[in-house]
Amino acid sequence: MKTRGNLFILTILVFTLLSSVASAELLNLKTESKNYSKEQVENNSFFDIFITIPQNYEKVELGAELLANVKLINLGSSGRVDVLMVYEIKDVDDKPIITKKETVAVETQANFVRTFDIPQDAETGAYKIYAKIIYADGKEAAAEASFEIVKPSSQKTKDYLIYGSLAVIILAILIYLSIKSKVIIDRIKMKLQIRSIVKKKLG
Amino acid sequence: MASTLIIISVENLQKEVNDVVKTLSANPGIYVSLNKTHESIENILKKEKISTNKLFFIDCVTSEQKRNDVLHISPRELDKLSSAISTFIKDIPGKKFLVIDALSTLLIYNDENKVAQFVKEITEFASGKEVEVIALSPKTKGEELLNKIFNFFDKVKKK
Repeated sequence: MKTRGNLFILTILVFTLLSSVASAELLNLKTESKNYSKEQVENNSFFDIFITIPQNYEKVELGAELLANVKLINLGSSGRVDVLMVYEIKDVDDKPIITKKETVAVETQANFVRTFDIPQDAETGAYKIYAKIIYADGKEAAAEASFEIVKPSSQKTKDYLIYGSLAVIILAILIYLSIKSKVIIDRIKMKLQIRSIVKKKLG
Repeated sequence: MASTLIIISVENLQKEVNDVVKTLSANPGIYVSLNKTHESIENILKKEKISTNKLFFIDCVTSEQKRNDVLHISPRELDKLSSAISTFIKDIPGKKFLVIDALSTLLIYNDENKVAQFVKEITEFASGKEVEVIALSPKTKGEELLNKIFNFFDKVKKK
């Protein structure tokens, strides 16, 4: 009986021990799971970024202002987070013409408008604006949008005037040449006629 | 060969033309008609029994081409007229003459200086070539022009 009683106590002790070990294991597992989740936060982008250019600004004149809407969404950490924003405007050859940096505080979502002064001496053509958000240990998220830099209307008017004048000059030259060639042809015809008249009369 | 400017009264102009053509008709000639059609001139000359066989007409009065052997040139086209005269002078072999009847008519259609330039071109071109140039002009017309051009001629006859 005594042996049975001891065995019972031993079983309970083992069970208790095992359960405590299991509990500890379980507790550890939970901690790990929590730790894993925290790692995931660090490894994956938890900010999403969008950049859009309003239709009115899809064509920007040299020296004018480009306007872009930026939207940041904090998908990860709760509470206010300071992030570094980097904006770059690059041409088709990936050559930057404007770079701008700023720190932005984001809680859950942030919408803001940014303006960029397009240099007067920039080349006209297609460009892209890149917006990059840098947060937590250099993690990044980026977005881009396209737009075009065009000549100012006054320049266009000047160009039209120059091309128009050139066209008029070329047209005038063509008309002059056409008249002149007609005169030359008429003269040649007349000389041939005179030759023929003289030949007929004088043999 | 010489160039002569004959300034004559309107009444005697045609008679003078007839005399000139008659005198020179042994040689071929170029007749620039500025105040009568070539038909009219031919009829007048034929009436006077002057041969027109060797005459080359440049008709500056009518533009209608009735005969292939007559050139029709507008009196406004002095360049063309000058070119035609030069071509005739070059193409007619041997001695020849040129009659311009009547020079002052050109003033109706052209600026005085342009006419003077035209006369200068013709007389210069003719000089040294076997061509006798006779330009006729009525006394009463274009006195200023005559003053400008008489230097271009070897002789000026006032009748």
